[in-house]
Amino acid sequence: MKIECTSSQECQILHINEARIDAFGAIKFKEHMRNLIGDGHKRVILDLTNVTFVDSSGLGALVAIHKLLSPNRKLELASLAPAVTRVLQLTHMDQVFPIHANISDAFGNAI
Amino acid sequence: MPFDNSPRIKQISLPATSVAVREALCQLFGKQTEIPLPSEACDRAQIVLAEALNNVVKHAYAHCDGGIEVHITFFLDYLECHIIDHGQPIPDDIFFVTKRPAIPPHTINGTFSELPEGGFGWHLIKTLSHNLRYTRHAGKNQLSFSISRISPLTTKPHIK
Repeated sequence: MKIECTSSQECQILHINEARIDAFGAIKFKEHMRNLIGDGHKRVILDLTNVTFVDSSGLGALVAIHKLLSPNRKLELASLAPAVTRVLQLTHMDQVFPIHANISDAFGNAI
Repeated sequence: MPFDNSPRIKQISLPATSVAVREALCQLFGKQTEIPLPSEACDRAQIVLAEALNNVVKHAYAHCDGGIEVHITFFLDYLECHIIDHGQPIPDDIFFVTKRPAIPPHTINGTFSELPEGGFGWHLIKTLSHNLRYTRHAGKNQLSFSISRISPLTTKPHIK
């Protein structure tokens, strides 16, 4: 699982350089994210520009990361492909994660 | 050239592993996709097939290795899919009863520890497919469903 990390004082952006977060990669993704996420940032944003598909195992991994950040932070998601949006909507998880159209939008919509 | 509207059939055999499921889905729904449906319908088909195939890997073959057969017939307005395996049967309470895992209201803006991390697969399958049926005969599971050109949902997907 390739994840590139860019950080400012306030915010950590994790760019997922994989096309899929699925049953095959979900556990490694979760572990990798746990290692990458720092304590010092107010916001953690996942850039999903390159991700075309997330299945229920991938969604479970996103929920696990969201819980890891709680209670003070949320996992924010940016640049969702239509198939990813569809899965989030059908499971009502679009009510749980703050969702941004893209990364620049995420900075216009400070949580 | 005359328009050919006769159904075409695609058959795939794969070992019951999550990496083989990923490869089969990439082959079916990648850039060279043969599926003659709009991308929104292809997304639905991919979600349902992913969940159904991963269920076979995780549950039917939880305690043994095995293979999966996927038969897809392409019609003009829908796909008909059959997934066949020789693993454990699907329990009745899973096939007939599964609902979307509830999100407790306080988890949206408060405590997250009760958020469900799993159990979404069957809900996605049931919501996005038509004519879902399951048979068990002579040690063989067959899950069949259709995916239509027109979405069964009223909610429109967001445009990226």
